[in-house]
Amino acid sequence: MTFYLRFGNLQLNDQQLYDALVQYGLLDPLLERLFLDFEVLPSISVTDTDIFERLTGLNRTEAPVESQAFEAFLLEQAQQYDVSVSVLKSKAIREIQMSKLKQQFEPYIESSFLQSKSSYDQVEFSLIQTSNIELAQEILFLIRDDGFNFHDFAAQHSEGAERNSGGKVGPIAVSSLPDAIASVFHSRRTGEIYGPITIGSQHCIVRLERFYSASLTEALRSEIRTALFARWLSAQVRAIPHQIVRAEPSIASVPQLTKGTNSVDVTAIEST
Amino acid sequence: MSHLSNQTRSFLPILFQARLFEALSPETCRRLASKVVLNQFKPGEIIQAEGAVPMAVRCVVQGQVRIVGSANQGTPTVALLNEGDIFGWEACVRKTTCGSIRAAGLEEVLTLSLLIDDFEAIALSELLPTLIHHISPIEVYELLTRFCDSIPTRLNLPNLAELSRYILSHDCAIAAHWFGELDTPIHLSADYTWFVSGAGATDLTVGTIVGRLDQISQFKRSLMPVRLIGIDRNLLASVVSTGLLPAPNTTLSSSSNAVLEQLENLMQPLITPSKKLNKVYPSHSAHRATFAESVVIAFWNICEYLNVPYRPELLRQWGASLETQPRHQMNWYVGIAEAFGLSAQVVKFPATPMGLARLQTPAIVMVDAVPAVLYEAEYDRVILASSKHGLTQILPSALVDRLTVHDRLPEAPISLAVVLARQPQSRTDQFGWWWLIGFF
Repeated sequence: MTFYLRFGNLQLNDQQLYDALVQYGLLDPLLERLFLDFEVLPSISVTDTDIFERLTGLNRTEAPVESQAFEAFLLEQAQQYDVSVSVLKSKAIREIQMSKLKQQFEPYIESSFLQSKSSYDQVEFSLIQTSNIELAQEILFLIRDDGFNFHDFAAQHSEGAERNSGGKVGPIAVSSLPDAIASVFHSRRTGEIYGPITIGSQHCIVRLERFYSASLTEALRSEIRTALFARWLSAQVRAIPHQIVRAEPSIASVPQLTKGTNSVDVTAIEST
Repeated sequence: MSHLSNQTRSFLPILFQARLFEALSPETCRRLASKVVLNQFKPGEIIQAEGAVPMAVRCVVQGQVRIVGSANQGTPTVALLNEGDIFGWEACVRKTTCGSIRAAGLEEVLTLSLLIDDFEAIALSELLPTLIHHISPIEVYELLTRFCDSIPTRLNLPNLAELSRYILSHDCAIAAHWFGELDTPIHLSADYTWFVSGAGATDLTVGTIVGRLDQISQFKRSLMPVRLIGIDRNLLASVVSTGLLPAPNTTLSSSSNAVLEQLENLMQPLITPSKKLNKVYPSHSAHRATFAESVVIAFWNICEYLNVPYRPELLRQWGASLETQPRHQMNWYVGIAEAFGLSAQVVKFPATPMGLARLQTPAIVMVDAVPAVLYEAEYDRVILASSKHGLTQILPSALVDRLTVHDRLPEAPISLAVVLARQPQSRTDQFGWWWLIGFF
C-alpha cells in the first residue's frame, strides 16, 4: 500500500515525503516529538491538582476536591479560552508533563553553568564594520591615536545595522559573537579598542563598553534547563534506529504505536 | 616641465618651499620639477608598506600622511605629516626601514613624488649638508625602540611614539654625518647620547650607542656617511629614571644621569680599532649541488660573518625537508635565522643597482634561485657569497639580472631580501665540547 500527500498540484509518495522531511530538516523534530509523545510523556503522571495549578496559577490547597466540581471548573476554563474541554485538558496535560520532564534536569543546571560560565557572559560593545580594510585601519588610527569619536564614525561609516545606534551593540552573550571578537573581550579591558578584526569579508573595529559576568538567574536557569533537555532528547532519538519500510496493511501505523511506560533516565545527559 | 599637468604644476610651490628643498639651486629645481609625479591615495591606503625600501621621496601636497610604527610594536601613530612635509628621504642615508606610511584621514591624499634614485643623485650633490638639519619622526622612534629592545632589563618608559614627538617638538635631537677616518673628525657633544641611525657605511647596527668616533668601524666603502643622532642626555636620563615625559616648563638637570650612564656603558660596542680593517667574508664550499646544501652554506656563511655559533650538520640533517620547502618564501629563512639567534627581517627592495646599494647588509638574497649572502652592496660593487659561485665581487648591474623577482612595479622590479643582524643576546662562544654537556 502506498500513501500520497496531495498539496495543490503536488503529490508526494511515502518515499518522497520521507525525503522531503530529511531535506527540510523536519525529520529529527518529528522523531523527537514522536519519541516524547509515545515513549516518554505517557509515563509521567498528571493529577487534577496539577491541571488546576497550571490553569489558574493558584496553590493546590485551593483546588476543587470533588470530581464534579473539577469538571465544572474545566468547563468554565474551556469557555473562557473558547476551546473544548478535551482540547484544554490535553494541552494542559502535555505542558505539565513537559514541565515535569524538564524539572528532572534541575540537579545538572548548576554544574552545567559552572562548566561553561564564560559562554554565558554578556557584553555591551561598540562596533564599526566595513568591507574596506584600509579604511578600517585608518578609522582605528583616527579613534585610537587621534581622539576622534567612535560613535560618530560608526554612524557615518559602519556598514551594518549598528550604524543606526552609533555602533552600540548589546548586551549580548559573548558566546554568540564570532570567536575572533569574543577572544579580545575575554581580557575584559573596557575602553580598549581592537581591530581591524576580519570576519569574512568585513573588517571590524570594536571597543568593549561593559562586561557582565554571568550569574545564575532564573532566566538563565530556564535557558540551561531547556538546553540540557534538548541535548538529552537529541541524544535519545539518535540512539534509536529508524528507517522507512514498506508497510503491510496489518502493520501498525503511527497512531497505533505502543505508548511506552519506561521511566525517564536523564542521567544519560551526563554522557552526552 | 612642459609635460606636467596644470594640477601637478600648481603643487610645485609647496614642494620647493618645503624645508628640505628650499635651498636648492634654480637649475636643480628645474631638473627636479621635470621628474615629479602627482600621486593620489585613498583614505587609509598604504603608501609605503612595512619592510619595503621606499621607491620614491614624497611631498604631501594635500591631506595628511600617517607614519605608523611597526606591527610588533602595536602600530602606534608616530607622526602625522601635513602639507609641505617630505618623507622617504631617510632611505638614502639610513639604509633601514621601520613601520609603514599611510594616507591619513577620510579624504584623498595627494603627494608629489620623485623616484628615490633621482632624489639620491640630488642628495649626493647638494642635499647632504641639509640632511643634517632634518630628523624624521620614524628615525627617532626606531632608535628609541631599538634602544629599549636591546637593554637587558625592562625599562618603565613613556609611550615611545609620544616620546619621539616630544623629542622633535622640543628640539632635543641633533644629527651628525661622518665619512670615516679619512673625513674630518666631528665632535660628538657630551650633552647628547649618540645613536647610530644610518649604518650604510659601518658594520654597527642601527640603534647602537657610540660615545666616540673610534667606536665606529668604518670599513665599508660608501657614498653616504654614517648618520648619527644625538638625543639630549638630560631628557633621556629623566625619562629613564622617572618613566615619564618632563612636565611643561621643566628645566632638565644632569643630576639623574647615573642610570643612563650605566646603560650607555653597557651598550657601547666593544670593537677595538685593531680589528676594524680585518674583515673577512666567509665562503664555505658546498658538499652537493642541491638547494638544501645552498641553504646550509648560506647560513654557515652568515653565522660565521656575524660571529654566531653554527654547525652545518644541524641543518644538513634536515636536508630532505629543506628540499621540499617553499624556497622563495623569505619568511622561511627568517625562521631559520631566528632559530640560530639572529634577528631577521624581510625587506622589499627595487632590483636595481641603486636599490641594492640602499639595502642594509648583510642580507640573504635569492640569486639564480638559491639563497646567497650579500655582504656588501655599494654603488660600484657588490660582494656576494653563494654555494654555486663562492665569494664573488661583481658589478651591481650584473647581479640585478640574477635576482629572483617578487613583483613587477612600473618603477622597477621588486625583490625580497632577509636583512640579518646579531641580537643583543646572541651567543658568541663557538661550539665546543661544552655544547655536548647537555647530551650526557
